[in-house]
Amino acid sequence: MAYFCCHVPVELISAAGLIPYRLNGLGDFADKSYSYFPGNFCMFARNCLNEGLTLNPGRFAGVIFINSCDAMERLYDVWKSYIPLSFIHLLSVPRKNDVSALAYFLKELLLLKVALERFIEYEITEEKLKESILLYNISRHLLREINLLRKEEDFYLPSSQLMEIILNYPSPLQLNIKLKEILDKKDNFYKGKKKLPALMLSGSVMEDMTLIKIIEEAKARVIYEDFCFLRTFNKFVESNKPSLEALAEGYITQFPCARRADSYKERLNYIRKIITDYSIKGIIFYIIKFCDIFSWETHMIASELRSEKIPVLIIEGDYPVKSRGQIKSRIEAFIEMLEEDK
Amino acid sequence: MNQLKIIEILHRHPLLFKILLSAFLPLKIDRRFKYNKHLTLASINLYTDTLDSNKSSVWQSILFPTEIFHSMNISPFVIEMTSSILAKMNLSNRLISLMECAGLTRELCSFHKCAAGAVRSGLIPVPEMIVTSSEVCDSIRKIGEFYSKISGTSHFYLDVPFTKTEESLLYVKEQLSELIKWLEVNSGKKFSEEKFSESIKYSNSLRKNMMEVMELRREYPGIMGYKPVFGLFNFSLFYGSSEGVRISEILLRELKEKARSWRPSKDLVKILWLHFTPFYKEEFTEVLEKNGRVSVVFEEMNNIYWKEVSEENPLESMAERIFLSPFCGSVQNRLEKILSLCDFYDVAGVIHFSHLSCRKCNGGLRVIKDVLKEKNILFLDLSGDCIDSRNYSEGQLKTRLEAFLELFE
Repeated sequence: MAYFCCHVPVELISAAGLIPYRLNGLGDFADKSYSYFPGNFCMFARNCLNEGLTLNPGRFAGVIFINSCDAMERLYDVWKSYIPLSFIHLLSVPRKNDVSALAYFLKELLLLKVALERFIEYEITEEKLKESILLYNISRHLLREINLLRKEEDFYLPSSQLMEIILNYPSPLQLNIKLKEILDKKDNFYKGKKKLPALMLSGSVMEDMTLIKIIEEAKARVIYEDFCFLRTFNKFVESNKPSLEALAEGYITQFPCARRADSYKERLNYIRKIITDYSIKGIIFYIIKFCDIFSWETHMIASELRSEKIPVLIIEGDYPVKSRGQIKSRIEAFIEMLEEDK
Repeated sequence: MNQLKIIEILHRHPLLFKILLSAFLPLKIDRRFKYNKHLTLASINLYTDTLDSNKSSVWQSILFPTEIFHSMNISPFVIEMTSSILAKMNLSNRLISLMECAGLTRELCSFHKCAAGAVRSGLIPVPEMIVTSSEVCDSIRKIGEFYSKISGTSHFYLDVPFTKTEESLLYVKEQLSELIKWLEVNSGKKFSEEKFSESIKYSNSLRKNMMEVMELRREYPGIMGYKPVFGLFNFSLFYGSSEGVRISEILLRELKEKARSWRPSKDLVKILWLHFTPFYKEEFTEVLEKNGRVSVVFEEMNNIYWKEVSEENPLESMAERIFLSPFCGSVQNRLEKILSLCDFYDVAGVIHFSHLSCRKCNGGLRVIKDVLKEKNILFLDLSGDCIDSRNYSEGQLKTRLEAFLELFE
């Protein structure tokens, strides 16, 4: 079952016996999107549309959208009109996380559950949901363990290696095996790369590893990533509550992206905490072109961080990442600046 | 002293600014109808109220229900309208550049960059309260958060879900109740059921009058001119106030009077206009007046698409109205309204002005275009920018509009 956004509870898809597959628009697709969207439209949405228009629709059982932002809402409209699939569902996720929002989101999750049940023609039992929640909580636990190690100065697990594992193993069972392997072989990662400046990366969707690889080639360590697809793993879902309630609560209170109301303050504080906890030397924001909410929010966060003398680099670019040379030069200059400041 | 400085000083002296605006602005508007002068003066009053620290005022996103504000004697003004005023004064580009120099990208909505620049530069005092809604777009919420960050202004955000269900309706209704409490706290004014009820009555009367205006414009196509009439959109500030009812009655009287002698040409081609036009320059629409055979008979932004607000259950009724907005939820919602207007006005063509950075409107255009094509309604998409004149190309717009009009010959 394809989905786009970190607010879709993957536990529910898994409990329905389906593999949650996050569409990311990466691949060698013909660019047909220009006849559907204007030129200055979100490049993530544009590439996801290309993926949908190019691929054999039979590859997915269906697709779950959420009202993530203006661009993704329009992607839903266009997809529904031009790409026939037997299951297309929009999960309306509130942009607030108070009591009323939670009550509303719970009902929306119930609607999704019923729609999935109708589609697969059997019931998603409470037992299956609990099992699924436990599996994902194991992934969350393993990732938390790995992240704790990444705080240590002489531990270095290349970000590209970790991200590729998370992206390439959508099934929680397989993901857990791979993450466990890293923890079992953790001694191999104590290679003493501590002289390289530690960086944090932040942005919206960034499943294209080009950016991280450019940074790694430029001799810096990315030790914390704040991207959309990772937010699913940021917060545990309680397993001792009725499952849908626990999912609603877990997902609505997860670390926010820029779509959440007043996300700016929460994200700023969170970034500050990560910078301290991980001894981050600089932060790179990557904004996908024409992404309104992240553009505004990054502007606000970066101005605060700069006033606190935290080195910040903002790159506004394509998705997938293009202009490699230009980005490489900017990143190298940023890293040079960090080294001079040592 | 440069223009920016003068405007800044005037913004610090709302009474003087009001007198000057009231004296000069009516000279620059379309004076064929008297209602326009009254509406402009009333809008100036609201605008200058937002500059006056002795008055309670709120900046709101476009199409936000104003009844609650008027009932509490809080003057509302639309953020995007502030930008359009600044664009008319030819100040918008400077304010947009200011925000771009501060790090915002060129691709962001110029309505919002201009409004942000106006406050950041100190040109306009920070509003006392700001209310935004997800019904319109993503970017507007960030403006609220931006103001809140730079000045500590209180910001209320109305989260409108994508789809209308019993639960989503309740969710919005609860937020409207919270809004009332929030306004009480932030303005120090008490909400009164009685005054609110009065406000709802005014709102319904204005709605009724504007529906009559819609009817008259159908019966007498081109009666308000051949160009789109965006002045009418200012009525959206007055739902819930007696002022709106008074001015709409003037408009109705004038239209009825004009209708007695109005004889539209029999082969008049009728057009529906979607979205706005540039506020700093709208000369290219003169092509319509000169052509004389094609008339914009109605504008999407002036559509009355909602039912009467229930006096028994006003908050729920207002929540329903929010969900009915053409910009709320799926593009199908907008398409439905467009088709119903095409049918009501029996139009042969539709023109959409694509404000460059409006992803919400422009992203769904293909769906709208294809459905109109199926119905044999000609469609023209004009691109430009409502506020940023750097993205304005008059020659190109004129040529495309003329070529479109030729299709009807």
